[in-house]
Amino acid sequence: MSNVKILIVDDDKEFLALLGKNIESWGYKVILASGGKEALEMIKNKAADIIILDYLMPEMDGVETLKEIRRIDKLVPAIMFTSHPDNRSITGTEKLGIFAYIPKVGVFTDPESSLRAAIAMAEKAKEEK
Amino acid sequence: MLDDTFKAELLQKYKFAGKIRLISFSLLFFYLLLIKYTGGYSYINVTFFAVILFETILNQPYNFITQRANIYRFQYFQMAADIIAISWMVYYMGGIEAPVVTLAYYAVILWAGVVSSAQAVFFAVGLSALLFSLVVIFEYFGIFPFVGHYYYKMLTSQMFSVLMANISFFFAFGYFSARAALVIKSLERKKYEDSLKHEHRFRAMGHLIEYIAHDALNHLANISGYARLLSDKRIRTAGEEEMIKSIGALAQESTNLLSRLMHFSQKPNPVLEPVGINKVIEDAIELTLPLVRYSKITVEKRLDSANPLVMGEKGRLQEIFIALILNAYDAMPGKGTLAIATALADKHKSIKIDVSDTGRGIQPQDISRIRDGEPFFTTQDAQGKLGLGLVTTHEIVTKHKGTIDIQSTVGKGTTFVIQLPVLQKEPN
Repeated sequence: MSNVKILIVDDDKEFLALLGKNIESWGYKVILASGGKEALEMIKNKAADIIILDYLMPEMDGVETLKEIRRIDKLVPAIMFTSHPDNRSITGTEKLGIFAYIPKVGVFTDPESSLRAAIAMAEKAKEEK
Repeated sequence: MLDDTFKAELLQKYKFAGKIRLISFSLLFFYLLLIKYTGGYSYINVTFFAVILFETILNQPYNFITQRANIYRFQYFQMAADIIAISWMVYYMGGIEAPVVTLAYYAVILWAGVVSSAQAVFFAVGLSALLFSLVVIFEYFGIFPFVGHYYYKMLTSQMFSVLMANISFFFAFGYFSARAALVIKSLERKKYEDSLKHEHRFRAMGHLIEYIAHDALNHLANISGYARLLSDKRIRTAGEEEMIKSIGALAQESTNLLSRLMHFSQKPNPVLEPVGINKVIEDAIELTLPLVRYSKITVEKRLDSANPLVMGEKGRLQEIFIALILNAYDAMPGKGTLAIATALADKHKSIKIDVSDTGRGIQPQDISRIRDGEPFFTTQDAQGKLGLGLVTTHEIVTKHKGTIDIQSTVGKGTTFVIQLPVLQKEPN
């Protein structure tokens, strides 16, 4: 079991639980947050090594959340979920250090698991720093 | 935007009329050539070509003119020029004794009706009558020098009766042309309103579909997540039955979402039936929820528990509230509250529905334009363009024998007050 802690932020609690279990099965530790504010609290208390967040969330969306997170932690690698097959509609994220955009719908069905690959790369990048 | 469409259509008609004018002048030219070689009358000279050239020049640069001049005013200049040219032709070919040329007046009058308005027809008839009688009388009494080739002369009494007959025909023809103008206008208006109906529907759908698809995709992601858990015993924690239940619930939620969208996308069934207004409002809120949920807007609803029935078309009534909700959504880019309240009013004879937002409000001069149901009028920025819904709303409410009023304070918010007649219970 790796010691890497992954923070997942999504407003859909069902998805959060499902993804949490899935990522745990890959051997990571998982922290769950169902909104931007909760995620910020968690970042303040115990630093996560990797953040995965959803783009579209009520109250604070993914970009807003990440902007706030960057004030506290500038380096933690972030992976963002999108509903769009492409991420053209997401703008203003150039300076937020987003590691990868992953389409949410294929997270559990994608046989290559681009999410797993992205986490592995983020882990590596984190170690190098 | 509307102006552009209308201008483009008008331009097309102008160009068509230009072609007709060109063909008429060429036909006249051949006719004159024919009488030159058979009858020996030569009307074809420099002056004739000058008139043709003048009319041809007038026809061509419409693109140029419409970009710079007011096309609505320009058409009066155009008609005046046509009528002057025709009158000159009448004079040139022998005044009252050359009756064939007067046919050209009818072409102008008809064109005024088809392309333009009743006022334009009145203008064309009046100017034709005036110039025609001037030319005929001046030519007859020799005030203008005689240039025709008809060597016989009518009696004065005959001249006046032919003149009067012609002028009364102008007016009679003008009347029919103006009627035709009204019919054509109302047909065009109807066609336009029909297209507007769908336009609004499509735009609203385009706006909603992104968010509805997002929610449906999330449900599918969760379903596949459960499938993954079910297929992998190592990571399973919850019971199988529980997970299968969750899959069923997710599928049901997606089905509801998508069938609501599909319902909205269908052409509404134009059948009048008793409709519970509360249900219509709740459906509209449900349908727009995927969009509203991700904004910072709170939705409040206070629906009258009496749940009154309204005689109407369910689908179209729903469109009102979708339009108003989307309008409120557009008016509140930041935080805000959208409140929908229904209450019986007017001694239980009508239901009053207040849809209010705490958005940017509408300028007073814009309110009157919305009240008039001005097509394509919107106070939203070019990006939003949902203001189209207000026209649709106006139309649907009027069709249901209701009224709509707007109260707005700039910077504070807007309230749309709709009153619809309540279906009265039959006395037993």
